[in-house]
Amino acid sequence: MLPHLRGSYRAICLALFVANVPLLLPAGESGSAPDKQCAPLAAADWDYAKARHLLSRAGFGGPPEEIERLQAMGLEGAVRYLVEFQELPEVAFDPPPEVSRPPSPAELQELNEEQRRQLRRRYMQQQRAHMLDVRAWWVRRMVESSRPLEEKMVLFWHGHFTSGARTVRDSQAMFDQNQLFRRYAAGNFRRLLHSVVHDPAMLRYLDNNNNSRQHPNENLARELMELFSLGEGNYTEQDVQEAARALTGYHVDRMAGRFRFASRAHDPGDKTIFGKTSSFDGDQLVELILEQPASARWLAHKLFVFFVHDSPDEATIDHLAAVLRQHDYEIAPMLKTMFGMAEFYSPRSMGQQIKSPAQLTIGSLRALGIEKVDGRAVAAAMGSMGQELFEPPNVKGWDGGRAWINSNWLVARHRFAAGLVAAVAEEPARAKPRDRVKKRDRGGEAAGAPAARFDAVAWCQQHKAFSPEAVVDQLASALLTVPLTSEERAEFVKKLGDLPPSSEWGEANEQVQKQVANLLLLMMTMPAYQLT
Amino acid sequence: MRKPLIITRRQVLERGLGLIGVGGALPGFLVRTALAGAAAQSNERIFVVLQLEGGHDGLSAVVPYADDNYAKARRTTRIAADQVIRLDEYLGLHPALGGLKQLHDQSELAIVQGVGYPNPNRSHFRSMDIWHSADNMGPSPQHGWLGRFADQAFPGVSDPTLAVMVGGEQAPLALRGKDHGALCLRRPEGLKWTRDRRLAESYQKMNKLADGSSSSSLDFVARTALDTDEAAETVLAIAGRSRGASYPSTPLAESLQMVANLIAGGMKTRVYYVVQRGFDTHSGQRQRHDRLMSELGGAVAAFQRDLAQQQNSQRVLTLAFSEFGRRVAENASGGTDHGAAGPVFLFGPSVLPGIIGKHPSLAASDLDRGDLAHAIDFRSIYAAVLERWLNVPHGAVLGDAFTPLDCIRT
Repeated sequence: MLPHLRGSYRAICLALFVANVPLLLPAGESGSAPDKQCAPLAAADWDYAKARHLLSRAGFGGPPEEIERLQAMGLEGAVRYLVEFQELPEVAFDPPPEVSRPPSPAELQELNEEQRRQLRRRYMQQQRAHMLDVRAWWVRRMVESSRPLEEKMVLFWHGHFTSGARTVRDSQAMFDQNQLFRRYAAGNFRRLLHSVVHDPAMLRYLDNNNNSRQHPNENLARELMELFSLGEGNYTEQDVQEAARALTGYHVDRMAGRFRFASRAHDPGDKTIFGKTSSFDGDQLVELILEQPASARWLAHKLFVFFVHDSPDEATIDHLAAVLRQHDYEIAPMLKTMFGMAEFYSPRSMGQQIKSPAQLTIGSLRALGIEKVDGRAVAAAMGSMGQELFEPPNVKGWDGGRAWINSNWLVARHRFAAGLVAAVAEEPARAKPRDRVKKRDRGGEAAGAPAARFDAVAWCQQHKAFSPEAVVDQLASALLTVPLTSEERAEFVKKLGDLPPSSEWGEANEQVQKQVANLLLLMMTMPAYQLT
Repeated sequence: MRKPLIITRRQVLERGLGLIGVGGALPGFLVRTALAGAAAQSNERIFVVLQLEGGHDGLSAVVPYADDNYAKARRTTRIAADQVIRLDEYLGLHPALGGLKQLHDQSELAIVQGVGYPNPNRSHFRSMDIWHSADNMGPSPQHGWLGRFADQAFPGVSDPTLAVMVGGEQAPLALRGKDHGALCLRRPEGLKWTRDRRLAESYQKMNKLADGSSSSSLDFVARTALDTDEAAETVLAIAGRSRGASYPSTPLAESLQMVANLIAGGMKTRVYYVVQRGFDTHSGQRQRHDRLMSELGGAVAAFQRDLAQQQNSQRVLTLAFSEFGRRVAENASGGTDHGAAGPVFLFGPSVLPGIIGKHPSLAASDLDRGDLAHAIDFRSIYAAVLERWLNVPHGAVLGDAFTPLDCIRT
């Protein structure tokens, strides 16, 4: 039925019966549990709603045409299409121009106090402007990319390997870190973890620049184990202290903005980590961590919670961890397994996740097929809903789930929708995207709409929705994961009101635009719209 | 001791159903209205928390000006003996805290010295969690002490305005309970997303249709939306009334003025939370801290004056704390690094006025890794607030028994 998926599934089951089993499953647990828990979805159950769910979770959703294309590929084809994104052409995105490096001590020495202060202020201004550009650039990628899972994984890594721009104070390093996450988006976790302990933004964010043999600093070592790779309870305090020593001298050359191994700050002595003793350095530490059975489970658990739902059972995590190990920490095969599982399409998963602000904003734009956006405005809107990119609240990243919903952030979500719909309702002749962009750059409403105009009439015509009922149904199908109840549907049809015959839409364009825009706004502010 | 009476929303729903005698799904908002009588009253005691965020250098606010060790430890941040506002032969207030001196003279200020907790944590994040959660010293606490107070004192009451954070976006951990959260207010208009009444009505209708449904996340979103709408009505009606009180134009004064306006307007809120930021003075401390003190003194004095004018001061108690004090020795940048114990301030006519506790010793041998050692556990102050001000037994809220500190008049 599903040769590709079945094939790999069989390989995985085989792997479970070989050497890894005792390591991965607690004694006494039956080996057949993963079979049931991780059973793939039956091909016959694959439909439009499941294709929409897959595109929404493994990406940021899309217009009905895209969902239909995915549906036509079948489950296996659709999963492969999304996960093997390297084979898809990349949309060209010019990175924002680099900014100058910080003033050097030699430069500063020639200046008086006042000149120094001016130079520093100018540098900080450049940094802030550059950060806004980088944020806008990433937002545009999320909206326009032909590889949605790539950007979704970058977002996952950003929340996993957190660094915050205000602490790092080096916008180029933040950009480079974002590119690092893209390079290994669904690639090899082993190589990513090695890169992370060499990443300038991370080393600055977690104070490893101050980690020297004379004065060890445990910040990076602790978070590396607690949040990035193992989870609490899978290491001792002594492991943290010794790991900190292994990471001494992993510094950043501030002027060049690059990693620098400061050999004089490195502690070459013996360290005992996880019961092994040697003169470990940071890279050997990474290898020791990846040998721990907890590491694959930790990563599998975090990925499952991000993509599926927040209460996975042990057997499922064991199974996914086994897939990770089987493929030496390659992420893609594990993602394929996860997106193919019946559990991923279960009622526990579909329509049960509270959208992150990124999911809400990018998802709205993609679902309506709006491609040309003002990246800064969309990023500002996300920030007003509690998700400022490149500024996670702390080293744990965003809590997600219900923490996304409070009075202020919910209102900010609705303001974004209202802004988007205002752009819909705007008359075509008066819709000048450039003007709107400029206005916002001068410090207008933070939760502004994207610049592009959405033509509601054209949308209805394209989707052959001409009666009030058809318009409601088509929009609901495009926008909502949770189906409308009959009461809700009736209310929407009533709110939309009578539409003129489609032959007259040409003359009545403005009126129809307004009617549909109002309906769109009601749909985008209903509680179900906050879920996916 | 009374067993904590905690009723889940589900139970409320069931109880509501029994009460009214209808079967099937009764939307949550109806239950809310049916039980509203059990909620807070608008003439009850109010507790205000003022969070001094970033780690406040208590030594520069309540200055041991006569201590030689102070003079030795502090070269650039020192406040000289002839500058302080003297409280006694040893202690003086920062020169910009004239407002607090006034309260002191009116017997409306208590300064609790050397407050902290065992094994002080010097991370902002962790230490703040410890102060907010109070009972749970483990990592990642889920609930705060005032949230648990609300759970305890208002079981089954779903009033979104029971606790209000003014000037912030997200409810602080302190206000998060199992069944209670807090409303966050920056500007009252921020609670509304549209001025179109017909649109707002349809929006409310969609939320009511979803509230109480089987999907819990959906229910949660709908409830938050309805709570926000409900609170917006109340708050906007009150915020619209203009009052004459004068405040300095600083962020803290603006926050406290909004609190005073909400109190004057008869909100049933029992706990308000405001934050003053910027206390993390690792460098150039003297100038930055001077500004913070003048903001603090001016705002608190104006707030107390306003409350007295509206004849509400008797029922308002304010507590100001910081997550930690700062290191006794200065660093090389004219600032101070993260420390341990520090003072807690209590304002209002109901405090036991004066200086409570002994100033921690600055002698090198008495310091805890270079920081002031605590003599009073902050939870004994919380216990006093709970028992003597909010009238709930403290054990169930704090998880442990503490001797309530004598700092509130009984």
